Amino acid sequence: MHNVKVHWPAIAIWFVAWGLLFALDGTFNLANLALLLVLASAVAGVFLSTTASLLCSTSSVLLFNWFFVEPRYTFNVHLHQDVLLLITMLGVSTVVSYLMSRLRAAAELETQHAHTAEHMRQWSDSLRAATDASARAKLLQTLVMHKTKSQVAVLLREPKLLLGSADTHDAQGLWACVQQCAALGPGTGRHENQTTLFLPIRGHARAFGAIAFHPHTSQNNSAWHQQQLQQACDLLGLEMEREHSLQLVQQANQDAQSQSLRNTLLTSISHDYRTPLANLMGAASVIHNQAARLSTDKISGLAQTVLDEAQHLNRMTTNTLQLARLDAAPLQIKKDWESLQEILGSVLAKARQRHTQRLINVAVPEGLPLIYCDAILLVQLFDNLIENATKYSPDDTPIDIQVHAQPNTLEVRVMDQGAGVADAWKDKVFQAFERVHADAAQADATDATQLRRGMGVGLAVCKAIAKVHDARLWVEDREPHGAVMCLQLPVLSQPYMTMET
Amino acid sequence: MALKVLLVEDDRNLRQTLRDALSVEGYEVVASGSSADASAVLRHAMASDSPLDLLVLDLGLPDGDGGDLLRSVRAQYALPILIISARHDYANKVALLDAGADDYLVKPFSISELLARMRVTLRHRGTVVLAPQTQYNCGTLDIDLAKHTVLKAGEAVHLTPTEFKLLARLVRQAGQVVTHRQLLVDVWGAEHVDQTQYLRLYMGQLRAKLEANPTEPTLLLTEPGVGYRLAE
Repeated sequence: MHNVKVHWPAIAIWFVAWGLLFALDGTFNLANLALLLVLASAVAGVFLSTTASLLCSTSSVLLFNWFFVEPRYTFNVHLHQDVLLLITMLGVSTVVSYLMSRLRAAAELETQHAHTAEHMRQWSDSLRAATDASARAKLLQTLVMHKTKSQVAVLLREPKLLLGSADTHDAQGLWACVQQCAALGPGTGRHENQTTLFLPIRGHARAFGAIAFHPHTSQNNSAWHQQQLQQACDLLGLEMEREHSLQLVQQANQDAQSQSLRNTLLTSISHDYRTPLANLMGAASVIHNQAARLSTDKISGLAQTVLDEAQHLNRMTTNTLQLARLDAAPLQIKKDWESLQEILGSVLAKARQRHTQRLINVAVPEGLPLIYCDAILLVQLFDNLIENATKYSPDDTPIDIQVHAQPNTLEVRVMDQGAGVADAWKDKVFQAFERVHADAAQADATDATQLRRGMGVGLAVCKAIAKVHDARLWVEDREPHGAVMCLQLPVLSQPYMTMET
Repeated sequence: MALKVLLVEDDRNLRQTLRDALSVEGYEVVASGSSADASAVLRHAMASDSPLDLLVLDLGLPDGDGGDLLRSVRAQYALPILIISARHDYANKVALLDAGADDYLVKPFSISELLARMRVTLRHRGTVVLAPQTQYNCGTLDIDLAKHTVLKAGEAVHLTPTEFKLLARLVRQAGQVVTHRQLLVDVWGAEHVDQTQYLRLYMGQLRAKLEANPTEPTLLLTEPGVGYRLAE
């Protein structure tokens, strides 16, 4: 029953009552003193269990008889007088202590429930904070172990996982429980003869797993207990269901993305490849068919066209493939400690070879920190930025490249003096093939279309490369006119090096 | 006598183009389209009176990995090998350079690039059997490894021991790419093989001392993702 800890007030009350009885003896008559005794019994009953209260009342009546009822110091009872007092007192104290014990039991149950609810709330918080299914299953196992003080086996369906030990019998039970999505074992109405209790980890539509444990037979509120454990299981189930649907959404997104990538590649081939291919074929067929009638200068010029268009195709192919690769497996890149100065240097060497007449000014401060990156990808990024700058600004204007070291970042700015990028295009230029459909119909489309010839994949791949490096890439206006391509690279804490003395 | 080159390339058109171009330049070209055929040609030619002088090897062969062929050639002959690879094959390319290939070229390339690489590779064909290069002269820079001197425009440049070791390693294979791994192992030791940060730092220091403009070097060239090359 309930352990009554608050008996000190009861002792005090009885003490005071007896003090008063002795003090008032002789002043009041016996009947009035008896009433005092009834009062004390009733009030003390508030603090005592029923049994203790009855014991106290009975002994009080006997002592009262001994001390106050004539003849005093004997148990000779005037039956017709004292029996009535005894019955009244016993009745009152029984009723009071019974009511109190019920009240206390209710209160205690309330506290226990509140405590459990709080515990479950904390537990479900930690469930949500857990990173993967096995960590969550482990949490459930620990909880059930703690509640039941028995060995607990947890089975998950996806990913297939078994925590704790389960013999073949238990394993069968677990799977049956998962499949039926219902509790099995003692007290469940199914397979009552089992000693093991199986509870399903339920989502809305199906079970995501099950737990098995040996319930304590001594637990007298086992139905409530089982319900509580089922609740814990369901919390995990719902969490897993939430995760599952999240994965489905992600999968759907990925599918949509790869679909859009496929479309991108198709658009690339159908639009951007035809022009250079047409030029190639034209120039090559002229050389092939009419070489005899052409001057060597003319042939050399045509051969140059073939070379240029082949290089253009090569660049587009490299970019398109890189875009596809980064899209398919953005994490499979090989990063190492690299010097930005070196990377820019090797890009510039190639750019100067391609554009021998072009003025390219470069300002790289000394002593830059190393960056953790994939050098090949960054070379491709800068190569595209510089190529775009040369392509979309007049040949007689310089291109300026600046590097600024800032706290925790390095910023590279590639600046041209071309027409710049209109505000409406500042985001779109980084999307592959954004231009193609809408613009053709517009009256002023020629500029934009011309501007963006072959630009689609180039800047899109730059954006993708920036993304896998946690870098930011954006375009700004340059005064008085021109575009500034800005790349902001994160600088990580530098690798350890021992210095030469 | 003309230098004899074995060209292993599976694409018929490219093989024909390269064959013609190399013949025009005065090389004697033996062309092969597969790994098996190339092995047979190699066995036969190397045993004959006029052995091969250079192997130009494409990595993507129909009957097996060009890498296997490279390793078997390296194990048997002191024959210089120039790798031709597609762009995406970086990891494989670096592995082959580490495995003993002399240099590489990324497809698509121009014929002048191929000829330049071939000339350098042929000049170094003695590296395996003969003493490696110990003197280097390019522009205003004069290096003599034996005398331990580095002169820039006639004036001595002071280098730290590590800087000198790094420069010396590049001089021994001037004109050819030396991979990060080769440099780290030879200069810093095998235990530092993954610590490319040292390379970046000392390369920067060397450039600051030897180059007119360290950002755009003309001598100590970067091959991103692969290694470094000392220009000729």
